[in-house]
Amino acid sequence: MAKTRNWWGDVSLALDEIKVWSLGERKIAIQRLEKEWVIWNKELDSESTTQITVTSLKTASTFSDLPYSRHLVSQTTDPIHISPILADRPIVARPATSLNILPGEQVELYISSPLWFLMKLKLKAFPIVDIPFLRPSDSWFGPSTMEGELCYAKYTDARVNLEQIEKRGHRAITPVVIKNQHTETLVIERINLPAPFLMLYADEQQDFWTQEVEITYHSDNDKAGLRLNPNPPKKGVGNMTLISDARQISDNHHFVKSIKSLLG
Amino acid sequence: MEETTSTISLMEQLHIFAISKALLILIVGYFVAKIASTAVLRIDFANLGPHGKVQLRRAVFYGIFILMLFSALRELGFDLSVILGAAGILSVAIGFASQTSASNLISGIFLMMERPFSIADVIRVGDTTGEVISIDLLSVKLRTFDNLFVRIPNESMIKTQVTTLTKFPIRRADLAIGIAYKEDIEQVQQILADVATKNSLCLDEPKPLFILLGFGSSSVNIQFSVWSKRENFLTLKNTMYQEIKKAFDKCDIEIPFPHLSIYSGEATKPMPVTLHATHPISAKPVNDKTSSEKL
Repeated sequence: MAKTRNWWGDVSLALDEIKVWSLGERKIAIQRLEKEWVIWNKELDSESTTQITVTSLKTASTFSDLPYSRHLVSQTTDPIHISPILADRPIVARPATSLNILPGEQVELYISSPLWFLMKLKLKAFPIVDIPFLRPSDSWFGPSTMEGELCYAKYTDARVNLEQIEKRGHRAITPVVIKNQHTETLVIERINLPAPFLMLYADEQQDFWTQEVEITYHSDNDKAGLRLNPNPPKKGVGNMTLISDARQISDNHHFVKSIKSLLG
Repeated sequence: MEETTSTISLMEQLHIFAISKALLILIVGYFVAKIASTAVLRIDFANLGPHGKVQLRRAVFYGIFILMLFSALRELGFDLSVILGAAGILSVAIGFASQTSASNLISGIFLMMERPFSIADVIRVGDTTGEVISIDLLSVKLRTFDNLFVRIPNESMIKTQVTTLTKFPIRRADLAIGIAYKEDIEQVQQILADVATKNSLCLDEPKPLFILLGFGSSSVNIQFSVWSKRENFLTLKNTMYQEIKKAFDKCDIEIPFPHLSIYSGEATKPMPVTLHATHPISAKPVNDKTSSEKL
């Protein structure tokens, strides 16, 4: 499939120019005025399978009935930086049916998770726009309704075969290695993917990938070792380029969480 | 010279020095306590919410001020052990005289120790729901959502049931729905599940709950319970009701209003109802003169 050129990176707009990022009918438009950035956000309920394209417009007449936000600055001469970024909360993924991992075995799963559209001014750290292409449904992951954490769900499946995952322009694939070092069989019904801690890469075909996540179920206690591989995954086509850093920094890429907070 | 000496001796007799020294200690103490209590908040303590900050400020202020008060009393020549002894006897007398206040005070201390809620929480006490703006020794102050200031004595807080609405991060909204008897309940269950799945504020987990409450007088009553993030509770409730109404209208599912059937019983024949209209009803004037004259 022919790929268009990158829709992310540094973007410069002429005065009054409008740039539109479209994913089918889902559109995000940015206009540069003399002292303000105007952002239109046209949301869509269903997921589009098309690629993300960037177009330029001269007038905003097509967005006249859409809600918009205005961001005032002293001058808009700074270039803007557009980047895809992973979700701001963990993502709950489910295999088609529950998976049983026998003691001493390890499996590799692939999880496809939705991307957010991030716009920053080149010299400022604070983002102006941070919105999902398709907002996933809210969900809760935890042993009870009293303890646990809010996450996102829906539109996310965990697959054992990489071929079964449809590659889309607004999704990233995370390889997850699960090792069972316990003496009991590990039953996986849900996986809590720590998306805010992951870095986003793109391969030469512009498919998005994240770092590899390794979850180890130890025999001595209920703790699960969660390790984020600091290197880009050895998947995809050609070299991997770092697109965006993790939203939150994890310490030493290795932190221990309770097994109940990672697998369910 | 003699005059000055006599003035000084007079002042000593009247304890002017001691009194002014005590006053000075009190005034300085007040300001020191005030400054120290404000300064202690500047230090960024980990995990200290607005409630903890208020408690810490009060503890520092009263701690310093009471110490200063004691030293001022000592300056005045009071023996503290005697004062404390007298205070013991006095407190019994005061306790009897002001039972309600004392009970509120004790309840307040228990409330602070138990901490069922803290400042900025939303609580429901009896019929009153509001945001906690302060927890004091005698009472808890609330701001209701129609912007009224409500003072609830601590004694009644201890005695009655208090519900904290903002304790846990997620909440369940119970939607009461009625459908007509002719409708297929399984189809309705499927429609409701679809509406919940499409609503992005509705949590996927815990799963929405479908409960068939029973057969009502005019409808089959259903409770559909959906979970949301605490902050989205009202939005979810509103959007779910709207979306359910739309989905029901689309699938021709009837939401019945109360019906009243008139039945004359087994023994008697059904009540005959006949309509006679020689003229079209609408053509007849309401204030028909001739008919009203006949009457």
